[in-house]
Amino acid sequence: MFEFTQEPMLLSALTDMFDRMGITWSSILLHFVALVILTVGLYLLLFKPVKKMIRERQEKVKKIEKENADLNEEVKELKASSERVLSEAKKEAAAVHESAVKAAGEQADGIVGEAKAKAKALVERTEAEMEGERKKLRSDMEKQIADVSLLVAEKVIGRSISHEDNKRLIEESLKKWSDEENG
Amino acid sequence: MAEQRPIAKVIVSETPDAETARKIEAFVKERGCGGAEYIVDADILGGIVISVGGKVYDGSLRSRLEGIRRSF
Repeated sequence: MFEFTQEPMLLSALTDMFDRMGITWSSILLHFVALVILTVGLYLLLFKPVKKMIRERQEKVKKIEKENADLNEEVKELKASSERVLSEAKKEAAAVHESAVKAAGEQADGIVGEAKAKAKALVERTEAEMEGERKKLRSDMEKQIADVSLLVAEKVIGRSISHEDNKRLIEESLKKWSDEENG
Repeated sequence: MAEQRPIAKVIVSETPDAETARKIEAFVKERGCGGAEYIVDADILGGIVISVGGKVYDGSLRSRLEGIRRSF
């Protein structure tokens, strides 16, 4: 550290050194002024536009980040919405499937019931027709048996009735008719 | 002039003897007929059928058999 008493010596030495290097106080001042002008010029011509450009770039980046964030949010909402829609679609599909299965079951039950009813009606009608045919056949058989029996009876009676039998038949008929009419 | 009395139509399977004929005559006369016209028809098998006016007395074996047939 220099002592206060040594200052004139230092200044003298510095002046000697500047003299040996060809530097004067005026040239130093001139360079200082040039430096100030350069600094101001650089500040005005370079620093400010660069700073403005950087600020604009930063704003652009922020804007892009904000847009990106908005897009991410929108994507999230869309994803949530699509998941919600998908879930609702799944529920709706399940409900439609269940409804279709139920309707198909009911339709199948209806078809089976109708088929059973038709089969029952067919069986009943067939049984009724069979019963009718059976009765008709029985009636026809009875009639044929009666006809054959009577035919046989006619032949037998025609051959076997005697004169006395015939006389008795006639007299019994006359008596019967007389009794009926006379009370 | 006496009123002409109708003749009863009598169907038999064989010609009746005199006693039966008298009973038949008496029967038809009681019902206002002047006499009986006999028709022999073996198809009635036996017995007698008498038509007096519009009334028919049917005592034939064939009608009895028909009755049995109807009852079946």
